[in-house]
Amino acid sequence: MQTINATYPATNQVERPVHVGVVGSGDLEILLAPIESHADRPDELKVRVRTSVDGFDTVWRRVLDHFFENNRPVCTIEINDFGATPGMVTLRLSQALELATATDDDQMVGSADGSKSTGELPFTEMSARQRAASLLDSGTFREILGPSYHAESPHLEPQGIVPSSDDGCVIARGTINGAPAAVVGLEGKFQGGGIGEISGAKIAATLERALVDAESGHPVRVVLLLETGGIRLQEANLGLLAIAEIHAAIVALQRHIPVTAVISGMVGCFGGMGIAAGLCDHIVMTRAGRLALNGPEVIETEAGVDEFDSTDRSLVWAVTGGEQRVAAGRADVLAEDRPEAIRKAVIDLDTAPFSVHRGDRVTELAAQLADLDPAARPTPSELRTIDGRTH
Amino acid sequence: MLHHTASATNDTRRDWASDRTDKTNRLQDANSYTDGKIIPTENIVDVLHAVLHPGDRVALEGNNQKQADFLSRSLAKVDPERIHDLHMLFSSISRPEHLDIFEDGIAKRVDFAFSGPQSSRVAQLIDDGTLEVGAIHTYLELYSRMFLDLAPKVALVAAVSADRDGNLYTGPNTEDTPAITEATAFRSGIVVAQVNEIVDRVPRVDVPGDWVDFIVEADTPFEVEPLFTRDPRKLTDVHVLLAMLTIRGVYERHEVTSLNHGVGLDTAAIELLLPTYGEQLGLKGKICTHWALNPHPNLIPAIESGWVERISAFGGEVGMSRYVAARPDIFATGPDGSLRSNRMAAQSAGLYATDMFVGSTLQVDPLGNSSTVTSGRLAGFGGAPNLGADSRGRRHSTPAWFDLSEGRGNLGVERGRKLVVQIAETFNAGAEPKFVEQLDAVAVGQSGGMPLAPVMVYGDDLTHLVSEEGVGYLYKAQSLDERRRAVAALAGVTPLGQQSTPEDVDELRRAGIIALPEDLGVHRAQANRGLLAAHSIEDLVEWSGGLYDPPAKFRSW
Repeated sequence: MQTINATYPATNQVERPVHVGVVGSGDLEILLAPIESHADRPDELKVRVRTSVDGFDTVWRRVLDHFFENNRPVCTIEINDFGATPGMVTLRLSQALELATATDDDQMVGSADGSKSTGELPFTEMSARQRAASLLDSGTFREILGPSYHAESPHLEPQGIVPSSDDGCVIARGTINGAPAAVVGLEGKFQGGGIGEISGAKIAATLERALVDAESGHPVRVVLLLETGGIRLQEANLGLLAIAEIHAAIVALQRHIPVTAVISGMVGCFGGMGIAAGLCDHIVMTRAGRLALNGPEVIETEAGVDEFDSTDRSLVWAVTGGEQRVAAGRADVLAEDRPEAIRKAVIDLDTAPFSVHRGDRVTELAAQLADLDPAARPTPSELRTIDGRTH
Repeated sequence: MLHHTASATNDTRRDWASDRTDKTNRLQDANSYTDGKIIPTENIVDVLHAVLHPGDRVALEGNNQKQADFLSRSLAKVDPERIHDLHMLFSSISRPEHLDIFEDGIAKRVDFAFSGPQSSRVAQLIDDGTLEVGAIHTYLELYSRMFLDLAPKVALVAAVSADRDGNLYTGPNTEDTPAITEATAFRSGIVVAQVNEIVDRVPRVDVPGDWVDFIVEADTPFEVEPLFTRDPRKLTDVHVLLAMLTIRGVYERHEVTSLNHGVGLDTAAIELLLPTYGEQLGLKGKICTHWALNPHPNLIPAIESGWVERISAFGGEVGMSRYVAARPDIFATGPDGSLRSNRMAAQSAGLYATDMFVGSTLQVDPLGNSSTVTSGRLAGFGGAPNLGADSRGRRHSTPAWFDLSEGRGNLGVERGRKLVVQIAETFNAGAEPKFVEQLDAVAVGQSGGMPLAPVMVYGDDLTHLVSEEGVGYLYKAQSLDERRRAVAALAGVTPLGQQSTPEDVDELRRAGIIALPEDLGVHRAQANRGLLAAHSIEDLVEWSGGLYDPPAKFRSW
């Protein structure tokens, strides 16, 4: 990766800080923050670019010169780039600037909390931030440790990977149907939603804080929007520790109030976070969502293509997809891929503490698996019946 | 005079039916391996040995969609000692064995149109001297030559089913079969058709049995590639921006009603913006009513919203059969209810009956020449050079076509012009400029010993160029210098774009030769995926009322 700095004399004041985009394939994240004018120094526009692609400083400087030729806002702009084309960079800069300078009456294309312009989008189309906002009651979204706190991973940059200002994890407080709630949203586009030290700590701390609140008689619903392949390989040990904390925190909190996992896709939920989902009292999935311990590619790599062909999408979804998981009793609710449908599904869930949790049924679940002959290659429809129910 | 006649009748006693005699002999040689017209599957290689002779010109059906893959696999099994140096005619070099036969010496020379999936290997084999290229054609051009100077001696084609008389049913994927078969059958060539099954009665006759010499049941149904299926999830906000610019700057500006779209993501975004952005602009019924187009799944929302009156299809598309069959007012369908496609006819419609071609390119040069051939990749073009060219033989007028008239000109007569539009984001995803000083195609042509550089759309056919910087109305440029400055003004921060000055841009805008997004009422910041009528393949299924059956590789459920 490479860092590029540029400074321009600036003239136009901006109204508010703005965050747009995501550090994901072909895209970039832009953080724009106004700088207060001072009489004793000229107004400036300061830009810092961190890019995953080396050797394009000339192109970057031209893109910035070109964009700021006629419009120089007084602000700092931080760009975390994951291989965006100049066309995409210019588009995102336009969006950021429009949001930063729009008056409240202007029709905005998408505000920082995603509360606008997401009307018709499927849930799977939305960013983690937009998803979290769509789940909470309108106007109650309040982000904790948002992008402007720069709670980014300290481990990625030394390994040549561009970090994200929120480490791919959004924590939001608000209410769901009037009840206090905390929503954790994982951004699947950033490093495949992998759990690192910071994102893991953000999730664990949210659950632990909810436990403190619950113990003091103020239960808070926690909803985890999981889009993750599990541990982020670059931070393997720290990710493992964080996931252990998350598991423990889910178990502890559920003595007071159920925790909900929502798995909508497109990444799915695998690895240690697949276990985390399994511990939750409520699992809501869409058809596009996938839930498993090992991802399809991992199984194919370890056990061979005859065991599991990860390119056979029908097979992958027939085994791990939301429809199958709900039918087999491994997940609880199948919701449509619309924000209102997911929100309704979450609202309809029981919030009274469970006496028996999925994790308490280990012996029973293990016995069901013991009856299965893996050499006989059970079909997806046979898998639906192993918990003794007929579907 | 008398002397001349005498010598013609006495000295050179010409056999006027040598081709027919030759065919009779070859059929005789195959006789012991066949049961009438039917070749038992296991005898196919023996029959090929009998009907093929070294140096024959052989048309092997395989385009960018369906493949006579049982026959191509069988051809790769013939003995190169017996059958060698064939001259192959391919619409598309698509499958590995299409090139294996050159490595094994079974074939030597090729005339083709497209080689997308095998483009790197084609470039390599030309380099090695293993493969001699006659020319890279456009589809219509290659079939036309089959009717004149490249008549096939043997045609190997594919159909869904045949009856025992050899009547072929090609179903939705008729595509090239009638053209290849006719060009062969009526020149005393031999037509061999692989079919998925032999039946008592075909649902409809797409190719009459007396054009077909042999039918053979294939070991597996013929391969069909869903080439025209583009997952809406792959569309970015930049594709949406390019689509908005093209809709406002070209479609709306010239009120284009009849058109063809390429297969790229840019045009997929346009198709998905018609029912949303196009509707907001009040363009329904005013643009995009008649299409020369395959059954693109991404056009389903526009069809369902009443935008489309008629589509003429080059080929079928995997998964679209039930949808197409349920919309016979829109698509051409046979008495059996299923799609009748015809590549030669649709290419003709694209040439003479549409007002506009819109496609994407990988490279464009300062004068607007463009190509998808880049270093190490000899992809060919399929239909683009034909569809992306003005038809000077056209003699009917339409508002869009006539809108590009340049007045009476030197010869005192007025004529319109086809809109040929290329969309090119300034850089590709690998951060390489698409706007270049010289097309890679020039060097590729030279190193491959080709007499012509493989240019896809010639600059003088290109009327409009769209990048994320804006729209160029190149047809309005009064000089080559003005054209060059217009292309540079759209080239963004590429080295070519650095040649453009703000003064250039102002001047070109005033002259109406380029339009920036703000000139067209397009807000960059409003370009986002939320505008797409469908965001996923699943959405397309929903739009189709469950009639679209996407192939497994596009399913996420």
